[in-house]
Amino acid sequence: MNTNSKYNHQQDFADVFLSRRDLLSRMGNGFAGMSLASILAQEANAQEARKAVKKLQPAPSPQRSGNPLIAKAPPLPAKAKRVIFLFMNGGPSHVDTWDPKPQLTAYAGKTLPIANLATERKTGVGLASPFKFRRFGQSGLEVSELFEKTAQFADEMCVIRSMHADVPNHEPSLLLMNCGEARQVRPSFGSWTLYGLGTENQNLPGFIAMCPGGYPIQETQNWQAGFLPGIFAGTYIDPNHREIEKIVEHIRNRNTTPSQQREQLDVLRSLNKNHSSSRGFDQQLESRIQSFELGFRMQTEASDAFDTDNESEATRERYGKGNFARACLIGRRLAERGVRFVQIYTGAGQPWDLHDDLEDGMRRLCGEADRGISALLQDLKDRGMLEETLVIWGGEFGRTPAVELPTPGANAGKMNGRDHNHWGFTYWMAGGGVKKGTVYGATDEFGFKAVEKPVHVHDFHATVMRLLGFDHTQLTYRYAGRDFRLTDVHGNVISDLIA
Amino acid sequence: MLRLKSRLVLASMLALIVGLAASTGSWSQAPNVALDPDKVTFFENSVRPVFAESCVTCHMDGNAGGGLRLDKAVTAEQATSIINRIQGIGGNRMPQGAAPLKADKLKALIAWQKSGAIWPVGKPSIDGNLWSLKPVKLPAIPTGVPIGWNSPIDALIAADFTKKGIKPSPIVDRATLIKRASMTVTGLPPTYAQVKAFVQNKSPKAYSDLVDSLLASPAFGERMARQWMDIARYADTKGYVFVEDRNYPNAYTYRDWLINAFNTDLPYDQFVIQQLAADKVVADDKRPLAAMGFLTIGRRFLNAENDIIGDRIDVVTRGFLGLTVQCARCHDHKFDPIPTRDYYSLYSIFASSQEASLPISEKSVSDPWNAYNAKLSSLKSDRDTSIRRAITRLRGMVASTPDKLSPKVKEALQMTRLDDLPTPERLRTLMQSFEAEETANYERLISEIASMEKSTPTSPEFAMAMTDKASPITVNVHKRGNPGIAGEPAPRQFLQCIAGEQRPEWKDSSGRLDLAKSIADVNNPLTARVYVNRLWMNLFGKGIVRTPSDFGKQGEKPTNGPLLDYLAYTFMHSDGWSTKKLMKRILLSRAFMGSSDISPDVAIKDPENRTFSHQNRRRYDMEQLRDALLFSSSKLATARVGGKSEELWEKGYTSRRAVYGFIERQNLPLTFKTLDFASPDASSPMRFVTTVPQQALFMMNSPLVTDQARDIAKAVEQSGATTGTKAISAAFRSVLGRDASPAELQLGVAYLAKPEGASDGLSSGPWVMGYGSISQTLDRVTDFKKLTTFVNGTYQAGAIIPDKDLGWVLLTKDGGHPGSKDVMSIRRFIAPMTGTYRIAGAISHGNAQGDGIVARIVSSKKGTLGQWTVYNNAVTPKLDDILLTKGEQLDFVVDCGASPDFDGYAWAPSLKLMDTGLPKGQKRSWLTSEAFSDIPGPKPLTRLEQFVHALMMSNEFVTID
Repeated sequence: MNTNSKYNHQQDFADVFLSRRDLLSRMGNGFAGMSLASILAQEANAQEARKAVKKLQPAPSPQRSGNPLIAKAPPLPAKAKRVIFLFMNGGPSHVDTWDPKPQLTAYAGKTLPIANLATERKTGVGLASPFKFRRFGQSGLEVSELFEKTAQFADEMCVIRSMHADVPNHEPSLLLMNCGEARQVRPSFGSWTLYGLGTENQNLPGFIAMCPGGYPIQETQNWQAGFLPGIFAGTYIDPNHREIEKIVEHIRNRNTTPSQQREQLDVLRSLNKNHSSSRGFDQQLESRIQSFELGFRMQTEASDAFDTDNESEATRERYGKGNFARACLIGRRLAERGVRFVQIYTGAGQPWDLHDDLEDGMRRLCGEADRGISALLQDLKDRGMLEETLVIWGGEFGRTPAVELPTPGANAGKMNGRDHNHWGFTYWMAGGGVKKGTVYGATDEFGFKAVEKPVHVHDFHATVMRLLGFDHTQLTYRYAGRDFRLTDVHGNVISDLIA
Repeated sequence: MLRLKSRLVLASMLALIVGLAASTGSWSQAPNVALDPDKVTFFENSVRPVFAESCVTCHMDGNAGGGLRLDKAVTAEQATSIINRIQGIGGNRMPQGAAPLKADKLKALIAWQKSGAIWPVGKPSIDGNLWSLKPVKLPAIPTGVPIGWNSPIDALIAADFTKKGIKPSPIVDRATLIKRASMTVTGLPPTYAQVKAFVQNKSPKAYSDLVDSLLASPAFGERMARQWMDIARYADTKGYVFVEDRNYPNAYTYRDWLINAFNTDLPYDQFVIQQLAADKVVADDKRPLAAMGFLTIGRRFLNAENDIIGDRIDVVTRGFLGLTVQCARCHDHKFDPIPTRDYYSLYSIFASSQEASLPISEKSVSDPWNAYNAKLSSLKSDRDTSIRRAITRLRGMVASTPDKLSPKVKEALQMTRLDDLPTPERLRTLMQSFEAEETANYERLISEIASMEKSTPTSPEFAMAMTDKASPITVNVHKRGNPGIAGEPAPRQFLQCIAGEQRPEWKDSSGRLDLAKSIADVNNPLTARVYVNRLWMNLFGKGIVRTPSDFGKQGEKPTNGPLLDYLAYTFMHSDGWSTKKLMKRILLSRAFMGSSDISPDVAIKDPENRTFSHQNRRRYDMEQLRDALLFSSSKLATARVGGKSEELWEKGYTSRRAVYGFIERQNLPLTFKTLDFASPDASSPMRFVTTVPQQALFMMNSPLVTDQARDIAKAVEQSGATTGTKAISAAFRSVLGRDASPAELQLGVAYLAKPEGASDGLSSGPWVMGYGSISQTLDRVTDFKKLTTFVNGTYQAGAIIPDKDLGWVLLTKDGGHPGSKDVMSIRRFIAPMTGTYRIAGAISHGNAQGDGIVARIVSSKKGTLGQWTVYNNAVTPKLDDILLTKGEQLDFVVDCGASPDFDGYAWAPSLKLMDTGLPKGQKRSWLTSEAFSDIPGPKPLTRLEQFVHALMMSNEFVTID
């Protein structure tokens, strides 16, 4: 039954978290002597839980059920403890932001002297970037004026200019970037992370996806758990909402005062104790008792996490006013509280999909993004959290250096935008053990196609998994007869991206 | 001993199969004619699995690290090098980056290399290893078993646990037994009265009668259907499909077919055949067509046919056969004897079939259609009449006032024959001379017609069926799963590992019916085994095979093979594929009745209860939980069976059973995920069981739960429970179906005796909406009263505005309206803690009529803090930050001035606590909108309601012992 996969879990999650006290009880020593407080303390102690599990394998129990979100250490040494993935949905233009192409300016209005690669729509002559680039930091990273604030962190960044994906369409590319597979149902990157690492704060969801104003396209599939247990799925939050109930389901007690609820839970504990006493120790029953204590505490802690009113005026000002910026601020608060994986989309639909009016659109989008992201990076750095927080920036693909030709019914009459481009685009990472101040790979001289050290999405995933402490080929899950993983049968770790 | 014996059997079987392969030319490589069968067995048992598990990921077709492939034969030199590298000789140790191979595995590889490194080709040789492909045989029933374990099922179980030195668990008490049987068979708990009657029933047939009545209950079909819906990845939507409509409006007809199939005990072979090929077997009764929803309700994968068919192959093979055929989409199955060609044989079958929306009963379709058609043709006839009338009038004008008509109109009239309708083009011309009323009438009619034509008649029932395409298709293998690289043709036929090399091709049709019959064949070794295992799992919580949809090498072997075979054999040969008969035999077994408590002895000898020496304790799944909650408050609608899907978690909570829930697979509501629902994206063999605080929050705070607690408490009070003891006693009966123990009674009575506590500010935070007036002498609001009616986001005096006594007084989250002179609208804020507060929020009045309003902020301790007259303008009150003590009331009062007319205003004040150094997590700002969430704050729970609620949250409520 077992493969050599070290982290392969069976579907029976009950078997994963067998702990010392469970066995003790089974041996007849009973549970009576241990207080709830000590159990909670123990439960919170991930290391301890891990050791207990390790020690007792393989003695799974049919009666047990555990909380699969308990924090676990990764198998390999790693700096990144959490991820903040800034997702520029719609496909941000790389040649206007992180990938300067002077030759494109030279060929503005002229046919590019390269094969016109097929993208979603027809494209024409070269479209020069209307934005100025300059160098930032010791590393001299060239970045356009659109991200001049974020570029102050050039020396923290590792910029990949040779990303590539498979097709020039949003839907499959979003799924590929988020789940490692373009069409079929697979767990998302965040849910794999949660599966592998659990989360540090049991009072908050471990994987939170924020998108202001509604869903990106492909909707909740972008943060799905696929065939993993549903609890590993991302919890969607619309940062436009201020009411905590719209953020965490059933978080508000509307029925009793907090002190009465406490009394109610105390009487519940008495009822449960009475129930357990005639049954002998059963971890499943015991876990459920504990879950009410956790739920009770979650009510106060979760409300606090999302309440940006608790931030100073100066801080909020620094992030800026928009809802993406607010999501960045919430993202920082969640990271501080030990949420494992935060994904922040720019907005509902596909805001970066600038088939036309590129210049206006980029100024508008980057204006808000630059402010929010730079404030986030600053806060992480100031708090000493950047080293252990992997910040990722990118979309489902980039955009063509060639101008998009007008399409009736879409951008009729306009020739000032760029089409989708999966052949080459830029991602950057900061913190979390990436090689700082580096640029990796390159597109051709116009920015159409990744030509130097190309990094496929699968390679990117493999590398990020390594940054989180996993060999991507080993973090697997047995489903429908085979062991699945984020990278499926693909992916190579790019060690040059890792410090 | 056992091991040796099975090896011998294997070896002889292998010889047979290898021989067979040789005679028919095998698949693609040379047959293993000359190989020593013992060596083959050794290779397949001890060598190939090691390569498959530890090496092929990096040494396979398409990813041949170092040029070495271990998914095919290697040379002797390569074998030597492999052995060296595994030991770290001559290069990096293999497997690189993973733990070294275990000693026994290395030893096996060395033995293989030394004995010539043979590599049997063609995978039929694996067949012999796969236990699940051996014929189902009736096992010998052991004798000499413990007393009471005499039935064949029990004897087979007892023989196993006795051998392991385990003593059986005692039989449970009757109250536990009836709850267990009811919950597992029908998904509904017994009532207090039912428990009592069963406990007191001394008839030896009591339990058997109970089982009969449970199996006869319509709730049985509902429970069983939901379990099969997990296998069938049931959903009411398609998933992401760009902009096309996402709904499967007829998916429910499949669910209703399932319920009916279980309730009428449709034999399982028919159950299989109808789900795959009802179109080929239906006669006059068309309802079985709905069964094919099994194939068609999957996700749409952006309408990619390869993936849609892949999903169908997966649901059929894992669902019915416990085989993971989808693994063979890109390459031969790595572990099981399923070549890629088999996958594409099934692919050809589904590619030769097409979806068809077919009526499932004449009347259910014809009635709504007749009504619809009648209405549509009457509209059309009205339309034609209206045109004719207008034309008649125009013809009249030609005679009387020809100058009023343009030459074009006259021409169009001439060209239109007397009794005919004009062509659309001529009609457009003629309409130039239509009168306004004629045009309006005509346009109204055509718009009604258009909207009707866009809609469909109400509730026609259609099956999401399939039919054969006109000419069936044979696809070629997609090499490496790539449709662009064609391999050998894959004719429509059954799986080789079951039907053998010589299996027929299904040339004349899609082959769906043939496929269905091959699955539902008594000689198919998998079908019955897989299904009886699922039934067993439903009744025991764990299967005999613990990977219920994977009976291949990667799955687990049965914990009790003879038991599985006994069940499968008798299911087919004695029970005639009757689900109810088999379930009854299991339900009446001693094993089913065992206690779920574990003795320390069993905990050590069989911690996973693989022997089934006792029962497994289980927690309610999502459906059992939801149904039980509504059942306990007597709200669950159990009488009606079938019907369209309904939202489960939206307020106004449906009283239907959870099986009727609307499943939106694209954005499945969070509550489903929190409660471990089966993902509707792919066939799901079993539910996960997690324990997370979000589940506790659902139980603690969901109105679905507290609403039931309120109703139960109300019923308890109405039943005349005048004392605390009586009330607690009645609460236990309603919620837990039993009497409270003296200690529990005491606990409950003590709880009821606790003070009710303050209720203000519970639901709406510190805000209270009301009305009253300001006492001139005291400079305070002295007669504040709450506005008690909350309608559409508005607090008002009664259901109708203006109220006959209080007039127009109302408050919304943005503003409000005062009533008459002494009925001022008052928004009250009660300071939740002592501190310095900042008050913000502009006041505006936007009507030039009337005389405007007077707004005041009045403190219960300090009197009026400010006063502003606002008339068709906006004012921002300027106030210093103010110190409020806990409980101090701040009233935002609006008075109508001289005239109570045109006094609607906007004023949504907010308060913010300005103090520094507050504890972390302290709420700092309060918006008035908090008092206006969708649901008006519920009334605080009384102590009795709280106690009932606690009982519903208890472990006992959700546990099947």
